[in-house]
This record gives sequence, structure tokens and C-alpha cells, in this order.
Amino acid sequence: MKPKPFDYVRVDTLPALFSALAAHDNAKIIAGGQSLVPMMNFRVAQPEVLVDINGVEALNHVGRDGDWLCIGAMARYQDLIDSPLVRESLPLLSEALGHVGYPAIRNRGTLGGSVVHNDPSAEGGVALCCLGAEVVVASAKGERVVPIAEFFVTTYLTDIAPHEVLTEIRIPVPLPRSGSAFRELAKRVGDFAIVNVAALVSVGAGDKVSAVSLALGGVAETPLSFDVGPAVIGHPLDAARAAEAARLVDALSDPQDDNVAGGEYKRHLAGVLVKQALLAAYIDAMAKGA
Amino acid sequence: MNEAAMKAIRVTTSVNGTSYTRAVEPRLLLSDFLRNELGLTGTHVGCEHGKCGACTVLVGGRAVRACLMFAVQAEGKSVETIEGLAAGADALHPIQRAFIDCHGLQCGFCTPGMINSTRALLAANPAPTDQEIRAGLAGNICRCTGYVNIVKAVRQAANEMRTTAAPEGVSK
Repeated sequence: MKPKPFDYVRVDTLPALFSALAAHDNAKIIAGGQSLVPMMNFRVAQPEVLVDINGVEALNHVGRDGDWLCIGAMARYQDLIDSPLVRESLPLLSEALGHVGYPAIRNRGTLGGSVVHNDPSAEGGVALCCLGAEVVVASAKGERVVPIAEFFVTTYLTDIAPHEVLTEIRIPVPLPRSGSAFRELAKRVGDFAIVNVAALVSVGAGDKVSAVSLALGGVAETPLSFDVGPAVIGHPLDAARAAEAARLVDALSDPQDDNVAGGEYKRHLAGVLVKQALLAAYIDAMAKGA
Repeated sequence: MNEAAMKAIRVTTSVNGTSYTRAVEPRLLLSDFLRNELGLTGTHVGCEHGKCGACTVLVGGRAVRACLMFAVQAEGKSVETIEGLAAGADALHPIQRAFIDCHGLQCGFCTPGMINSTRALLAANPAPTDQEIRAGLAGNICRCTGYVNIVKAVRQAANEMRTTAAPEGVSK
């Protein structure tokens, strides 16, 4: 047996979860466990109590609420990828999640768990930053809603207290004439990306860009949004505009060396992927018709 | 009674159609449960952190890493391992047959995981392209045979299973 011994509590409801969290110090919630269990096997994580929320049906939902798509904390990657609702409302998210790990990881892992874990190049976090998502964080005292960019504090650290749980991710559905693209480079299929890019482009009259959103993973301590509006808004998006956007991103980012790639290489890669993603998103938006 | 025994939790789970009840420590991984508690050593343990895929089994019909689940989490679930695949000693499953025919295994260490991932892949997609086969098996590492013959084996199994059309009751 690899992990340190722990007590195990299985809960089926949110009130039971809050009671369990209140009753124990150093308790940890387990959702899909695809990051937590490796960390426990390495004994990097040593919770004294594991609170299992896999049976909390109230957290396992995907639905539209007006102009928002709401994803429960226990929704698994593969269910989200297979969901027609997600594919139609947020094709960017479907595309991004297809890059997560391997089939066996996607069958068990959850977007909610990944967001709380906050690996800086996790595809879900990058897509959610690009889409301007919010997360709902609940405790026995009530709920609070946190913009995703504020929720991501730094690598492996998020704005959540030990007695709280992320219950839902809320994502605004993009404007009708919008296109998106997700691009990443990893050493092998399923590895964490060296750099990944999510782009969302809306077009208006004259095929000019009316709004743009761009987020990158792997270049900072958390997934990060970049304002490239000045480079592309008000113009049709061509290679020169995309290159100007890539220059803006380059000026605003300072990727560091890590054990997979050097900072300079990541900088180069970010430029290439930003251009690819923006142009692909624009073409996607144009395909939606005038 | 030692500390470990005091913390034991009863778990009842169906493995290859047979129900088992055991009292286990919460920290017992599903992979170790299958091997050490049930004696089903066909589930191989390689990296024990979700990277190699050797321990891939089906839980509720879906391929998962048995090393990234605790046995207590299999409570009430249906688990399928490599031992449950063949109808009998002389009746290998078409996927098993294909791995032999195509030389899709050499040392055999990765094979149970490869075959379980293939079961899930073909249940979801009975006619995969080579690229889809590679994506379906991306989470399974082979260190000696090489992937060319494994992909070939999956292709053969898919062809055979489509023509014989024996539904297996698993989904991805």
C-alpha cells in the first residue's frame, strides 16, 4: 500500500459533506482522484481524512441556465466531451477537454477537481479563463461566486478554504457569431502541455473582429488571460493582426524554465500557438455566417 | 487489534460477475485489492501513479486506472478484469486472439491493460481508424513489443468483432 493511512468518509449530500468537513481537520475532498491519488501514492499529499463526493448526485449535472452553462463539480471529463449541450454551447471546452490525459483519466477525472487543483497548464483551466467562467464555492455558511482568474491564486493553490467545496462552474455562452480554437503542444499525447492556447473570437459587420478573448497555459503560475483586443478588434483578422497579437502576449508574459522546457522555447511556442489559435478561431467564426 | 485493522471498511463489489465482500483499509488501491485480496494477478501494477496503464480495468463498463482508485470506492460497482474476458481456457476472446496472431505482445506485462483499453475502445467505436486506435491506447505504455503490432492487433480484433457482432455489454 502506497499512501499514508487515512480515514474514509463517503457522503451523498452537501449537508453531509459540510458536516464531514467541519468534523475533521486535515480532511481532503476526493472527486475523480486523478491528480490527488498519484500525489497520495507519492505521499506528497497526506490527508488524515478523505471525504468522497463521488456519490453526491447534486454535484453531477450539466445544464443551461439562460446564457450560462452550469457544470457540477462531479461532472467527469468524458461526460462533458460526450455532452451535446457542451459541444453546441461551448465547443471550445469540448475541444480543450479532448486533450486532457488519456481515455482512462478522462473517464474518471472531473473538471471541478482540476480547477481546484490548479495545474498551470491544465486544459480545462485555460479554456475556462478564455471563456470568462465563474466558480461557485459553498460551505455550511452559504455560497460565494468567484471569477476564475481570481480563483486561481498560484500553482496548485486556489481561493478555497478547507471547509469549502467547489460546487459548480458557470460559463457564459459566447455570442452567436463567435468561433473558437484550442491549440497545444505536449511531448506525448496526453501529457501536460508545454504551452496551450485557447482563443475565442466574435465577428461583426464587415467581418471585423468585435470581441476577442485569449488565454494561455504553461507560461505562468496559473492559466492566464491576455488582452489582445488592441491588436485585432475592429479589423478582419489576418496573419499580420495575429502576429501583432502574439507580440502583445510576448510583451506581457515571462515564461520560466521548468523540467519540461526552457522559458525561451515556451516563449517561441506561445507565439506560434497564439497565431494559429486566433486565425483558426476567426475562420471558425466566419463559418457561422453573417 | 492493530491500527490498520481498526480502520478497515467493508466493501462489496462485483468482479467479473462474482460478488466479493472484504474488510479493507481505505488506503488499499483497487489494483492491490484485485491482486492481493482476490488473487486476480492479471491486473498488472507498473508505475502506481496513473502513467503506464498496466492496471487498466473496466469499472461500470469504463476503462479506468485501478491504481488511481481506492478499493472502498468500488463499493457497489461492477469491475471487469482481464480474467473475465475469455469464455474458457480454450476460448480466447477475439482481442486476445488478435494480440497473439499479430505478435501484439512480447513480455506481456502491458497486455492486460492494453486489452482492457481495447475492449472499451471497440465498445464505443467498433470501426476505429489507426489514429483513433492510437488515441484510444495513448494511456498504455509498452516498453518492448512496440506499438505497430499492437495497433495491427486492435484492427484485426475490430474486424473480427464486427463480423461476428457479439455485443460485450461494455461502453467506453
